[in-house]
Amino acid sequence: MVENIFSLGNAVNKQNLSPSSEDIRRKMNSLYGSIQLNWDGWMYLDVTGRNDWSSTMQKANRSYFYPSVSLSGVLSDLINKTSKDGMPEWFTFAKVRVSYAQVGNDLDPYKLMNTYTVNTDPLGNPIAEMKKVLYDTTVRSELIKSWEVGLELKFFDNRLGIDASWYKTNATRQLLEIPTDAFTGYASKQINAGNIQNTGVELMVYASPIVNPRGFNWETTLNVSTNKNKIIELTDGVNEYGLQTFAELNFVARTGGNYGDIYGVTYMRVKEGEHAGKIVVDTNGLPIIEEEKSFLGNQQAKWLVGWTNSFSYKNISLSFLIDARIGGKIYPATTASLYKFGNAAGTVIDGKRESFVVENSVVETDNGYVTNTKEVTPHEYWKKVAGYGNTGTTEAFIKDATNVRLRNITLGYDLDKKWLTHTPFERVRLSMVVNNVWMIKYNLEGIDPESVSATNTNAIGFENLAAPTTRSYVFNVAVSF
Amino acid sequence: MKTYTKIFTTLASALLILSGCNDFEDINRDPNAVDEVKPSYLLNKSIVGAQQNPNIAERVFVLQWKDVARFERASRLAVGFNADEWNKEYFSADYGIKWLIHVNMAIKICNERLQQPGVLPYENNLLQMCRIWRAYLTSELADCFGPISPVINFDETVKYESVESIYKFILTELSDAVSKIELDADMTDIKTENSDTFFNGDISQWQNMPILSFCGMLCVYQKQIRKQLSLTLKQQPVVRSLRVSVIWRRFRNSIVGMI
Repeated sequence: MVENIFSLGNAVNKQNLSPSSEDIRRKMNSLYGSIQLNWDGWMYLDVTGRNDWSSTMQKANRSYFYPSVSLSGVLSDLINKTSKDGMPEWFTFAKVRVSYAQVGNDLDPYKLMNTYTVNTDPLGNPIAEMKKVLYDTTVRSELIKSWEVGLELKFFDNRLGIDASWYKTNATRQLLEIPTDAFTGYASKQINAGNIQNTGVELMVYASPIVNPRGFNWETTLNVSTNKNKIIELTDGVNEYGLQTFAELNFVARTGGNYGDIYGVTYMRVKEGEHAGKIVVDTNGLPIIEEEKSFLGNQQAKWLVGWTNSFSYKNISLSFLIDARIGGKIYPATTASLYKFGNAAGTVIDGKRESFVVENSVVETDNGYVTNTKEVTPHEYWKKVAGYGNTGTTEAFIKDATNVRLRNITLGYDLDKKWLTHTPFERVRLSMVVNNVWMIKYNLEGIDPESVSATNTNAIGFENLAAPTTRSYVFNVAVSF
Repeated sequence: MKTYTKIFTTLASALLILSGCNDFEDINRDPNAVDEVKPSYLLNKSIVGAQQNPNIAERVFVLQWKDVARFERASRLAVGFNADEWNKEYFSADYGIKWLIHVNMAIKICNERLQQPGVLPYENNLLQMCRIWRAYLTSELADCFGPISPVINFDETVKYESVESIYKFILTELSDAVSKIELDADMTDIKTENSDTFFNGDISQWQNMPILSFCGMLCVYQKQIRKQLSLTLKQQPVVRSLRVSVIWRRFRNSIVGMI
């Protein structure tokens, strides 16, 4: 239909087919260099620089440069050199470091110019369709700036160590598609915007309490990290960027808030007076749901903790990892669906589905609020509460995503060297790994807080009919020649 | 000397690699997309898109409009339950506004083409066809949601107009477009490319279309329009040719070719 466009959609006699074809190419040339200088063997300076030329950006903004610089000092070497006694015996190693780095990112391909796609309608007649995003050729690369300060200490001949670091990362000039009034001709607009900040601390403590080269060994490592996020700004005139939105539940990034704030609907409650805080029900005894959304938490974890222990005795080794995620909220829409259809165990109490009066509830009468005495059946109650909108009443089902689990166990056996003397193998190791072994503690009803509804969204606090996470058993044989 | 050779060769190879980057412009050109299209393709997209699909367009028509008119027992707006999500989806760049965007872009391209030399015989008529269709779409969206922006300029400005001024705009557009139609222009290009779903290039039928779309508005807003636009109404050439029996007959006969 259109000359020189070799695309399936452009064919003339397609009958009822409406094909779509994609051919995505991009090219990037990069130049990278690094220099390391050291002074007197104890202070090090690393400088790197990288320049990218990307095909997805416009000529003027195609090349972008980002450097990094890192300064570290091995204080133990310094003290050993300069002072008479050196470091105390139990303090083996100390290092401090500070670094500043920049990283750039480019656009996805074909996002510079507004083009049309040609196809045919169901009657076989030609149509041309516009894209929904207003592109801008003047956009620049993204820039992520990060600072990091770290400390590494080792004691007792490397049998106890601490590695701590603090970081602050700012993602600026993000390439975002900001929603616009559809009457401008486009649903969203490509811009550089935003300043999203992440600060946090990571701490690793490792120890080898028992060391016996020919006997029993025990090593243990503890990892703790926390991250605090803040949306400093998005762009002029835009204060909110939606990650996942329904009429009754929104996951957003709001200026001044955190990434992944959750706004949802709650039960209507009495605001003041003697019944303040109680749920208001209608004349049928069913809770009234407040249409206006309120802030109900954030999807991000406050702490991530991992603890590994490894034991070995002669040829046998055993290690296991326990990890915990503390804080953050998750909304399991699956649970709401199960309650709505009466499939959830929680709809049955003591083996029965008896009518009940909603706890702590009041009903509005001409004389003000009066304690409610109307009974409802579980069927009516859950149909109202879990059936609200598309995902249910947020307040009823949103839960803390804190969970602790035994993440994996590894059991290994090294074959004795003497059995291998007449074989071509140097070393043979058999091992078995079990992943996702045991969920020690969690707050949801049968749903793993780590299951997510889609991989192409950043709303990790929203779960809906996700496939359950799996446990796997892996048997390994490793040989070296 | 060896170090200098190393540095030199590295720089030389770097420069060679960099000089190979002059195909960047080509690489970032989507092979499946087009830079320029015929406005008739965009108009066809706008017309076909406006046909009710079972997802939202039918929901807004059957489950909202027909429910309110008590023609359908859907128990939605008639009993106070509002599914705002359907409205949101309809009044978005996926549905109602999408059709307006495409017909406005077709009008923009037509206007640009008419300024340039080498105007094809059907292009003026195509512009009037687009304007007539845009007037109808504007009335449909304004009927559902009230004040909208009747014209999309693609310059990032948006101006919402009151319903009264939207209807004034529609009436003037229709009169002007109908008066500029050239009945004797050569429409064979439009006929061969099959891009006119309604009348397959028969421009005289397009000339009658405004009467039909105006009739739809009139049926719904009889009293209000007459009161507010009484003077301007009588001056519009379209109105002068109205006679109710003629309108109804044509409306009935042509409904087969319409939505």
